[in-house]
Amino acid sequence: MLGCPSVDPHSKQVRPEAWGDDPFTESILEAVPTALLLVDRAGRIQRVNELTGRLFGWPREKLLGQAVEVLVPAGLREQHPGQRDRYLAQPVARAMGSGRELFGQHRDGSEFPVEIGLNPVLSGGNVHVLAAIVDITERKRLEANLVAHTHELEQRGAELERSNEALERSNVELQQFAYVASHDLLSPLRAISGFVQLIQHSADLDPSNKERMARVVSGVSRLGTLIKDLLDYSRLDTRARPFETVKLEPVLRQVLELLEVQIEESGAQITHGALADVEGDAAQLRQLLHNLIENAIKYRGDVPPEIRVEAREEKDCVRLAVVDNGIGVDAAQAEKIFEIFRRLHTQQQYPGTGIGLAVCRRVVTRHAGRIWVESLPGGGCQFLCTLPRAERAAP
Amino acid sequence: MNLPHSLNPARILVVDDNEDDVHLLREAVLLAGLEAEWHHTSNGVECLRFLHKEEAYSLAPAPDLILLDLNMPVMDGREALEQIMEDESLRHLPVVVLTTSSSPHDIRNMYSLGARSYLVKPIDFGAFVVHLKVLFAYWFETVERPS
Repeated sequence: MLGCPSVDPHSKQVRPEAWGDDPFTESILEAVPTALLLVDRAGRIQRVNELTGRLFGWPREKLLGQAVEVLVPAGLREQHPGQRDRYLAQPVARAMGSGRELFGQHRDGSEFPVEIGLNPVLSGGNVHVLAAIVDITERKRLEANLVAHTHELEQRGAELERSNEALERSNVELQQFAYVASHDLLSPLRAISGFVQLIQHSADLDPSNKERMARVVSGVSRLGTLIKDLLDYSRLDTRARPFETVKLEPVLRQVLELLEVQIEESGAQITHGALADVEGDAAQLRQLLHNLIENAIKYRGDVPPEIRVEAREEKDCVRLAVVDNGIGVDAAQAEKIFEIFRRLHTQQQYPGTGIGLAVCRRVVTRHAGRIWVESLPGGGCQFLCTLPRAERAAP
Repeated sequence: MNLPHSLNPARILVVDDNEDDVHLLREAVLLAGLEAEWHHTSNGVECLRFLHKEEAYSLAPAPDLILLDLNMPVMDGREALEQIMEDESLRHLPVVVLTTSSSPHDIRNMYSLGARSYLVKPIDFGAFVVHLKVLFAYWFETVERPS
């Protein structure tokens, strides 16, 4: 510690008697931001710096010669001489902050928390004790604040955890509800569909009833698609699998096989550029690519669809793009199209359930990414999303 | 397709509690061209009574193929299959699961228990008929069945 005489009482490196005599040492001791006082064997204060006086509310000269107990809280004064004697019997340097909580007493009677460092020093051939005292009122206040805040934080954390659990529960319940509802809806639908098709194929229907039955069949088929899509949507979490390194090229190949009929009918040209490896759920990534490419084929203009798929590695993600030359998306609708059941066209224009892009968004969100659409100047649009980069090279 | 040789019509045991589904299955079997001797029970307990020729089923024949639904009251298809497989006298019988459930857990579980095939009932009736044609062609025309 700056300005403190030596820790070792047998060391002759410092000359304690200089305090008060040498203006240089004096000015250093006054400059130290610590209250310093030198106490003799009898417990009388021999020297103090200015800060000690200010800290305890005493004029400096009034402290000189007084028993050091004047600075000790009233309740502890009686035992203090004993403690002093024990210390002097085995005088060793005691660093600040070691041991129990200590308090000082102001001249006005108020007590305040302090840290005290003790050093035995030689003065005029006698062992004195140099005490360095720091007022830690502010630190204690901050500590108490910290404890209070930590406590509050812990409470809020616990609350958050509770509401998270509740949320998770209701999420699971909702998924189960969606699953059971859509599953149970399929059963009667299958019966309706079957019987209607049997009636449809019986010979004795007049043309207008045949037409009506055809409409029933198409309605039933749409309802079936809707329920199945809902089931798929509700299964996104229940059938989620742990992430692994996924090569996108085989995934894309599978998707193109599944979409073979649509590709052939529309005359779509589908190409791909670089396809970086992704860390994710392969089945869900296949669904993502399937829905994006299926949309690109479905929402085509007058010319056959030209679709390009790319997955470029960026700094902290892989950016997947499905670019088409279709009818594009109105900028005002660009956000809304990812909401479930949101459709921009009639069933006659473009049949659909409004679930496909909601599934895409949910898949991407589960992969901690985001998905968006941009219109292209020459017509068409590109769907973009970010996915996690592969943690290591795919096998 | 002409299934199977008319001397011995295929004996099919359908285990399903849903009347609509049973009715449609019957029509679909006809359209699939299978000449079948049709038997029906509506849960696992009934199915086991049939197979053990108990009570009202004292004259029941051993089926060539069991079409087993999964979700049924009293005893579901999972338990029924388990009991069939535990029974030395029944475990050779080919059981094909015919259900609405496409849950990967159900599929895996039923194959583990000893199901010989697993068919999800399609919504489209035409597709259903095609699936049954394939199934019957396999069981009654292609492979050897235990006698």
